[in-house]
Amino acid sequence: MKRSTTIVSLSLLALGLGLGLAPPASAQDDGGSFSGRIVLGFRSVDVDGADRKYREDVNLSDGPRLMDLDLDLTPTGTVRSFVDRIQLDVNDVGASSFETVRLAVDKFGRFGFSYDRWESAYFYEDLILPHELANVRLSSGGDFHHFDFERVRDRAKLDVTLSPRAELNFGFDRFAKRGESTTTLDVSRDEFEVHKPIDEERFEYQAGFQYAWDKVTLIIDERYSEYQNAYSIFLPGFSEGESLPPANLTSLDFFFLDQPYDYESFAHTVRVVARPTRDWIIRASGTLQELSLDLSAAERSQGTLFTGVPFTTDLVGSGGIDRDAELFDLDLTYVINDRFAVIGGFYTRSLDQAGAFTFGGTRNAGAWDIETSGVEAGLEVNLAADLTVSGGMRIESRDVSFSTVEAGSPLADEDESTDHDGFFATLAWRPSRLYGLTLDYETDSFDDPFTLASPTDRSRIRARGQLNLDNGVWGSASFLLTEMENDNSGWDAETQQLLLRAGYRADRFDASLGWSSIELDRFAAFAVPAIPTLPARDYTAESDFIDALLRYRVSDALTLGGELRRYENDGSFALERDDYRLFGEYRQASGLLYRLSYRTIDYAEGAFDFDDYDAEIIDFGVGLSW
Amino acid sequence: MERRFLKLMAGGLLGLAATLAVGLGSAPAATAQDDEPLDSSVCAACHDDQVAAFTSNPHSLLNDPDWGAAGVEGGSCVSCHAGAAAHVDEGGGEGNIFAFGDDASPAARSQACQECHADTHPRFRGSEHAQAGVTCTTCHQIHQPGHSAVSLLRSGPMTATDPAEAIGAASSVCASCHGDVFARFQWNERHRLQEGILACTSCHDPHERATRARLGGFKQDACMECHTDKGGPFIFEHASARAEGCVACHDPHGSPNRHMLAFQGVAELCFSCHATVPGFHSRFNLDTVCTNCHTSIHGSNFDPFFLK
Repeated sequence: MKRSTTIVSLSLLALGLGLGLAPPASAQDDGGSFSGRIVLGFRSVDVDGADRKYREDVNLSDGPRLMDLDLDLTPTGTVRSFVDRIQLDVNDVGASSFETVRLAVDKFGRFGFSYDRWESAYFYEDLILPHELANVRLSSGGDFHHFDFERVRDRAKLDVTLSPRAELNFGFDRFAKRGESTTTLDVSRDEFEVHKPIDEERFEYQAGFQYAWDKVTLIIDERYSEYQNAYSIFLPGFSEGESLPPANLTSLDFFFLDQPYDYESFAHTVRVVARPTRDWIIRASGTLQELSLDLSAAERSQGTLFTGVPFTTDLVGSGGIDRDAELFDLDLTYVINDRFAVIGGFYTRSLDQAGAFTFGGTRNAGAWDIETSGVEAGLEVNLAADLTVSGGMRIESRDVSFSTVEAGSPLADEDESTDHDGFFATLAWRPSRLYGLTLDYETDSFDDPFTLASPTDRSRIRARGQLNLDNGVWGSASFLLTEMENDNSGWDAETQQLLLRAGYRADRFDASLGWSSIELDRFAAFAVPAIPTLPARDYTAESDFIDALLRYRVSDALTLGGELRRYENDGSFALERDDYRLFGEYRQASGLLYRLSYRTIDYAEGAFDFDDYDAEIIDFGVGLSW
Repeated sequence: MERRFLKLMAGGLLGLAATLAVGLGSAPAATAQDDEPLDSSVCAACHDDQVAAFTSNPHSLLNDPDWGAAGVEGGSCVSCHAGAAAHVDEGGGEGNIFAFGDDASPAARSQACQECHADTHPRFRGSEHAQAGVTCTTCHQIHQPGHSAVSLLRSGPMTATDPAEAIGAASSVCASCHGDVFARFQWNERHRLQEGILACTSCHDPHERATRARLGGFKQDACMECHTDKGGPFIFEHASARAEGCVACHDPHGSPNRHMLAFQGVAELCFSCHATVPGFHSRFNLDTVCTNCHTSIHGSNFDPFFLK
């Protein structure tokens, strides 16, 4: 109801503005303008096959919606004294899984206000093996984690210019996630699928002040955020679990666990940007963050252990976690002249976190201390107007220490230090706006990486070329090779990607064709002593993407077009997805417009067919533009 | 660690000295700030379209005398286009005015903008974009209103044909160069860039240095804006996530795999780090879904092995 009201209100507002206020031409003689577009429509979706996979992959739904609302107003006369420009951009409000709203109001040099809203649905219910191949003992019966929730984010910003030297800014950010999910619970050698409602919300409030002297600017930024998560999992009634008697006697009559938590956090930032001369930019920044989390929990359960012995639990607990973080940066840019610039930076970060939680009389605790320091220095040389060469090096040291206490006894107490050296170089050749070439190379070396799958060596080489001819022909090509390896464990990962695109753009015609190939290889052969039969982890994904677009403006009134997106993945997990779309838009001289599109998606997995689906999506819209 | 810093500092100082020796021999760049003021109405005589377009452009402030008193002198045109007076004297023409053209180095083009915008983007010259010769005007257009009144972003090539896939203006601009990254958003498991509910700039700041140095100092800070529940803090943290960040297990742009994981199988991923597991795991294989038992894999307040 609320959503329908929003659609109707926005639509009527836009129609009224469009029909009543729109000038015959978008630009008025006195510098003002008012242009806009509103399209209302209906989407029809027909899915044949695995609807759950369609919802996970595409998730466009049936129903009426406000497809598009764009307003762009540059007022004149007295209104202009207060506002220079108003922009509203609304997409897909109504029966949709992805909605966006943006409003911006600006009076240049006085204030700028913006409001954004993003609303999206997330669905996940995936099967990995067909039921007949599932094996509970191997825990391969599927992924019991299902999600069906909505994310909403509202963000507003207000910048107030007090004078050319002084500015105040305020921000508000809200993020909420609500819906349903299921997860698993391991009880006495058995797995139970349990409900896990999702209900969390975060607010952030920000206020800042900036003052610019002739050579120094001071920026102060204060942020306060609070977060609540009503975390709970429950099994409302009897379940024998995944392993059935007589192999496993474990069962649950009921299980309830509430562990809501909330935290509040403050972040204080002071930043100074100094320009003692035009050639120097010095930036120093310091941020202190404090976070304090409160946690409580209550568990009630009743059931039977795998031995057949009944059990009950009725436990409560509470605890908290405190975290302090400090971030300091010092950056220097020295522009010697048009040809040379020296860039350097030094940074430190520290995180200090400690928490304890007592549950059912048992105390658990964990503490972390991470100290990171790094230096980067580089030189940028413009050898000629069309040739830039830059390069530099960086080093970073990170010390990590953490300790955990389980049931009152120390479980882990470790210190890890990782040192990192890196070198980077870029060559950019841009002889004109019509074409150019960029080559960049990075290499990094890490001592004592944190995990067996963290690199000891990493390198990336990338080449990009672009062409944009005056006659409308354009093209681009790129190649990327990334290699990572851990000399100690034998883990390595490689990515190769090639992209070729070409197109032609003219007054009435727009066409493009692209092909991208991505090959991922990840390999870990080291033994896992507890599982002597475990094979090497040898993963490959070879993906090819082909996309094509053809848009032809047949006349001033009629535009027709089509799109193709084809995706094929071979390797460890084969799948194909063909996505085709035809669309047309007819616009009358009065501004009335009609839009129709037909899209078909064919998704097929290689190993099994229980996730395959075909979908047909038809969109019809009627609107007005001016 | 101190020795490493000392070595780097020594090398840096040597490099700086060499650079200064070479660089100081060159003439310093002329900037528009050195020019005499020139009323933009003079420019409008020939460039009326550009001057008129400034009415819905934040740079129109440059004509405001209050702002001129604060250090922006000379009116809107001459503030950026050095040599305007000579250009007028010679009756127009090319080569006598700084026009952000191909004859000017990328550094000089960006420097003209940095005269006023260094406070906002002081680290731009250290960014990968600047290193690659990308200038402010590569992404921003100054004489037209642009997609957004304030940021004046250009239109990219990825214009949406369906509002359901309304790629935002910021991402569209990025896609015009980063087509390789955009291809990764075509995978079936991906962040919803095409649907318009987030943008490249949700995680990356194009005016800053490389992403890894930018993400709030702790690698997962940018992710936590939307995935707050995964960030804890927890009594028992998944150590690799805390120390190495989310990308230890996830490919953030997109992936062929569930939850954008680095491997298709959960066990493949877990066993690529965890060589030491208890003996009763001997019955498991690469089809095992480890997270069916280790369900709170991002962190737990109850169990150090994330069973609850």
